[in-house]
Amino acid sequence: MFAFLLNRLAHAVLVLLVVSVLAFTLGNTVGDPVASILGLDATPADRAALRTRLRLDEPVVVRYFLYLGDLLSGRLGNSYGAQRPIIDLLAERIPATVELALAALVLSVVIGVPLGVFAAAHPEKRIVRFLMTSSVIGVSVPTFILGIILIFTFSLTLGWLPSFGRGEVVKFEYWSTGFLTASGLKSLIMPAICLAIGQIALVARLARAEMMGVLRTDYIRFARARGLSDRAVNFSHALRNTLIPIITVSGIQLGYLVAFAVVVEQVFQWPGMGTLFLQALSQTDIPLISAFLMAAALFFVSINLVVDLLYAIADPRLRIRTQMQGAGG
Amino acid sequence: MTPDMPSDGNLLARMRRHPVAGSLLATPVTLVALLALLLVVACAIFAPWIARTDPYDLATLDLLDSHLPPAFMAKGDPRFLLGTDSQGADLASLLLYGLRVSLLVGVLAVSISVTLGTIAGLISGYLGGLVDSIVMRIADIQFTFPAMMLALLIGGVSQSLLPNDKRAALAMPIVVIALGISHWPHFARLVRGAVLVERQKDYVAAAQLAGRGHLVLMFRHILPNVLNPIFVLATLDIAFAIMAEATLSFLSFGMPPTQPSLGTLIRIGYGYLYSGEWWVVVFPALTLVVLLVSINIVGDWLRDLLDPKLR
Amino acid sequence: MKKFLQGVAICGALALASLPVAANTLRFGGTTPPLTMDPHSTNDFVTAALVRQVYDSLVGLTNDMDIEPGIATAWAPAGENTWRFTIREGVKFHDGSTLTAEDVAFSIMRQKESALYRAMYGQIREAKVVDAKTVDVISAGPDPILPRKMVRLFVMSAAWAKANNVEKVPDLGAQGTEAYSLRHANGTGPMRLVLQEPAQRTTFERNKAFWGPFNGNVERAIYTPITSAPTRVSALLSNELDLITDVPLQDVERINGTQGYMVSSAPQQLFMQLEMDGTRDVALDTWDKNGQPLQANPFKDLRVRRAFAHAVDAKLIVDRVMRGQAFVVGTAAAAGFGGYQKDLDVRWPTDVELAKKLLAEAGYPNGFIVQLNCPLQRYVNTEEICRATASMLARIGVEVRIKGMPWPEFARMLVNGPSSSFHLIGAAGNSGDVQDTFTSVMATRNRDKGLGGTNWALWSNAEFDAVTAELVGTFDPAKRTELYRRGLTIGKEQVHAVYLHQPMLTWAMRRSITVPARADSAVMLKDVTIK
Repeated sequence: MFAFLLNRLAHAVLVLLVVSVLAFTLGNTVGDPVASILGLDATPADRAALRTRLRLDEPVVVRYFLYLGDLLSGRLGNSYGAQRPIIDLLAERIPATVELALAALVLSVVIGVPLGVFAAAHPEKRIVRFLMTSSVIGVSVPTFILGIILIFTFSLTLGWLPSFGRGEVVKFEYWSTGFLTASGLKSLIMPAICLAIGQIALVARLARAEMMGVLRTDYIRFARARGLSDRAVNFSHALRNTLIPIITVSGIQLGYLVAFAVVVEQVFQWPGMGTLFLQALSQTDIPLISAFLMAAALFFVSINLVVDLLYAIADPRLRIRTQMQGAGG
Repeated sequence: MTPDMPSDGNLLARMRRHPVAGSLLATPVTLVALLALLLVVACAIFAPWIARTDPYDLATLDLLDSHLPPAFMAKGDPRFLLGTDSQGADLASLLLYGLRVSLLVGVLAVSISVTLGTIAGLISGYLGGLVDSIVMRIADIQFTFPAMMLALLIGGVSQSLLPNDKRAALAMPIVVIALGISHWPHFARLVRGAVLVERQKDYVAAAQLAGRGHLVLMFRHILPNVLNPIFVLATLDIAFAIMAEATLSFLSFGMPPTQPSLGTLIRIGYGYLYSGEWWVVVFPALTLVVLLVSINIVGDWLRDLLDPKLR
Repeated sequence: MKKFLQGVAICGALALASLPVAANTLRFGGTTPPLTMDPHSTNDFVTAALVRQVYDSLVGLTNDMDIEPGIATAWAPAGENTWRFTIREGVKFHDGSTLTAEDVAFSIMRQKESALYRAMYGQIREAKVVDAKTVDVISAGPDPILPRKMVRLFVMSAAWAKANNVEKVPDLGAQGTEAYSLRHANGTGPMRLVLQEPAQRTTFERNKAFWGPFNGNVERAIYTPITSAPTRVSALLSNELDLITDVPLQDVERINGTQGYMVSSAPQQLFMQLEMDGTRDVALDTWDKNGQPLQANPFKDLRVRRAFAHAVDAKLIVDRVMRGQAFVVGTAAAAGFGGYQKDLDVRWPTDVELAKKLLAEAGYPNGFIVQLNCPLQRYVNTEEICRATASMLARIGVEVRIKGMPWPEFARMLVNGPSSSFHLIGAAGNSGDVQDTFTSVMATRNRDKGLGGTNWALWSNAEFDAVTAELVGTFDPAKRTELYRRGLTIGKEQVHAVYLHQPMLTWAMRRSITVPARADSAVMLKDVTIK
């Protein structure tokens, strides 16, 4: 177990190092930072001063290690576009994306798991077969088309929900939340649903498959033989055994949710990391793009670590195997 | 071929017993999807012959024809079945060509994934040891990022860094490579797993004893045994690639308006959604959804048919 | 934990306070967020329109784009190269301090040093405080339209700038710092900046101590940038905003047809034109029909320029692409510009046969291939205009390859080069006087003299340059009119560029709101009335 975690931790560091090399290369080989910052009318003295400040005269390897040091201490430089420290920009945007992804995750689990359990328990019902077929549509409709349909229906035609932004947010130190105001919650509904639909279908399919496996085990047969009702068997006995894999997969889903959030944010003009990234791309804001790479890597690496941890806790075989390996080696 | 043709009832009964046809007949949805997919693919392949105009030829456009609704509507023009766009281009022709671009990108991207992934998987599974750890480590690093995110990063960053005169010309290769790279580890893992299983089997040992070379072993003996799962995964992956391409184009980091894919058409049409000119966005979106749904349904069916283990 | 509880209490209060929208709050939306609140560090016009709420300009600008007294109550020439400005008394900054002549002189020198304003104010040598209510501005040469230029000169407090360490216009190189003036402001304008939430909201409230007339009844205003046009429209129609700028032209009809909403439009202070290389011997990105690069510059032949002018149907573009929300332009000026000549404003007739003939005479009977550089943002429907141009030129055998670029990239191509032989662009001097168009857009490029700074196609005509030189030094109105007419006529005869149209800017709002539409796209909050 310990060895397994150590292995994953080493992997995480490796990923971050690889991405940092990419981000550094991007930030240092593309374009002329001096021209980007100072414009064309700068005097040679200005340029020289800036070159020194940006350490452009040091050898590349030295600059890479200095860059690593900057990263570790959170000095990400300034964005060309916004003219502000990148770390501030990221800090402002992260809560929006995290809240959106969390809301979608909760939706997909809360709706997807019962659907899957129901489908596994009653595989022959017409409604179940219908749902399973239509789940293909849920997976197939691109997120942005779904977003357009939602806005057209619920904002423009019915006027029920806001079509853009986060509404009112409440700030605590470094975090801003839309969960605590009416307009914040209303603004969250459509983007969260839009992001969740595809995942609901996936979670439902997964829950169904897991559930069908568990229902075939002796343990459940025994419970049924004891005369427990179907409902009690399905939900309290069988479901419990399927939850852990579902939670694990949810972690992975969170990663996918964040990836698709880029699209949803663009459609709903959600002020999160996705819109920031797209803005950086369209302005070729290189420091911001390279900082975004690092931030994304850090995020996905952390998600994977947590998932691995859950997985290690959930899967006793892994625990035993690594212990045996530990003892043997 | 028997000379006495069976009656219709018998044919139907025989088809039901046939594994492929039978499973198709049992699920009418799949049959419909398969037919829709064939139709759409045919449209894409024969676009230059079916389309009334060549939307890439600017000299044929007339601004006076712009903003026309579909032919079946009150103000429609019989020349333009599905209406025209803001430049007077025939939307039906644009759709056919867009479909062609979308499918082409999807197929090319998946070919790259399959080629890269198969080679990496074969080598790593067959040779094992250090090569295996390195290849799998790279795959692992890549698995840290969701494929969609990776496609966005590679496609978006390279589009944005490219000097603008190269951008339109290189749009298709960039999108294809971005999508191709983002999915190769799936195939590498699949193939490697299969190779590890096959390697244990007697026929490989026999072939090895017979003095066959590594390459021959890999490609002539092991590869044919893993083709089915590769084929199934590839089919489902085309749906992903087409969707990812449409998404990139919708975010304007994909195909340019001069060579629009369905995603580009939707991006342009989105601006007209509220103005009453619904046809410029609804038709491309519908086409894309039909395409994706039918590929996914057919892919699921293929998986059940060819490789029940993958379920 | 205690902090958290406090936070919850505060947010509860906030949530309650924010539930009913406070009376007379204007929620308005535009395309892009303000880049900065520092009035001197950008010339982005969206930013300038917002900054104008908070900072007053030295010379005021009426809603019809005429000049009026602002921070300066009067101005007059005082010697060859000097203008004397009389400073208004009793004007208070938002922090309560009183505006002085020193603040004015400080602001002029600060803004003039900004890289983006060198073309406009670079000729200014000194801003001299004569006494408590007089400032002299001394230029390197005579400048008859200096007061007109001062409508973009925003006055900030010298003491405030010093206290917050922003005496110089901030640059971006400093590691990890944010200049104070980026998101804070201290002006004298009709509105006070309450809060600038980057990329989200900018909140203003009424400056009760404003020195001038406050005609409307807005107490509070919230600006929200929404880049995507359809989202902006739906935000208006679903009552999340009261007013939006830059309405997509295709949606004008629908909004006007929606109960309770209307669209108002005003001609913009610029006109669109296709510029053609007037200097290079070998044009960039031009090919013969076999795809071999041309070893010549077809645009140096007047017949080719005329062929293009006659082939592109500006009227059809106005009708179909601009949906009637624009005026065809026939000279290098548009209605509302100082020096505009209405009777000269007749465009070349559209005549494809004539165009073909001219092209053949110039030696291109089969046409050629040319790349059209096309900016994708900033102006209305540019992508569509470029595509329409391409199909119109295709009819005379010229194959146009459109290269669309987002604005920053397009601007970089021009500023760093200019590396374009054929492009679409919106032309106008910053001040709205034709003289500015002459000196910056049409005069032969000459960095030392500060001429032709935005003459991106390097058009050059000696006779025209002579007219411009004379105009700049002429103060007599009748003589100036004569020179305006000569310059405009030369521009048209020599096809300085293919003039297209003057776009309208379109705003949409709830019917309960009245606001004067302004050519500079500024929603003047002080003039907005909410019924």
